[in-house]
Amino acid sequence: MGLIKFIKSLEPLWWSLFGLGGAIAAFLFPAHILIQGVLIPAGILPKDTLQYENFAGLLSSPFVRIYFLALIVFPLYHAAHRIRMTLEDLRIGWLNAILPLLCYGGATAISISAVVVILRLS
Amino acid sequence: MSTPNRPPSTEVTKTYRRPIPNTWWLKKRSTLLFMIREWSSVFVALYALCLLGQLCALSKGAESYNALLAKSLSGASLVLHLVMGVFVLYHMVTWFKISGRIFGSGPLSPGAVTAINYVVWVAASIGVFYWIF
Repeated sequence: MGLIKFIKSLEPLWWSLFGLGGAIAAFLFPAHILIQGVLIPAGILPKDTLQYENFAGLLSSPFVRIYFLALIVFPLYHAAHRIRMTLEDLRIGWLNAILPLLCYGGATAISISAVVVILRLS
Repeated sequence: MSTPNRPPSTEVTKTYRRPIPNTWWLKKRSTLLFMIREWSSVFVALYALCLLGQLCALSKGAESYNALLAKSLSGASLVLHLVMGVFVLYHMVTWFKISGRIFGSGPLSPGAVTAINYVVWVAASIGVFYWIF
């Protein structure tokens, strides 16, 4: 299990991503969830921004693309680290052996997908 | 003073490990709140995936995006976002509280650091509203 050992040796990296992702989720997610997920569907705010032409126009800016990429990637690593730590407390031997690969590997795979999706935006 | 009973040196003794049930966190309010805080990260990941799904639909074109938009404007989506919002808010409150404990020393008390976090959060939220929407 050299790979697992290597992944575990990158603890400072995972912890840094955990911190950054937690901060992004804390400072930015509530507004996005409230506006996009609650106020617009409830009809309190107009849904114009979410219409295809407007949202595509918004995402045409490279800065907005980087912003959304950060909004997706770093909180995923935050969740990966926290879920790994919480599940390790359950002390399930076979699971603990592969948890670092599952959690950080999963977050990395989804992050790479996010980069591909962003690059495919016209 | 009597000497304690000691087993013969040939006997092997084992350290007693008290069995801890998997439901240990339900026993006290503090550990329950701790576990809720930890599992709030699942909803953080879930919302990140929702955002990714939105961008994925956008990259596939208007038809795909509009189909997803119709679902995201539904009542079920509203309820899902409310649930995610509750846990994300709990993550936010506990994150700011911990930040105060970690960074609150010297001229800034833990309470001051936490208060600064909330001010930055309000500013960031207003920024999100006006910049994105």
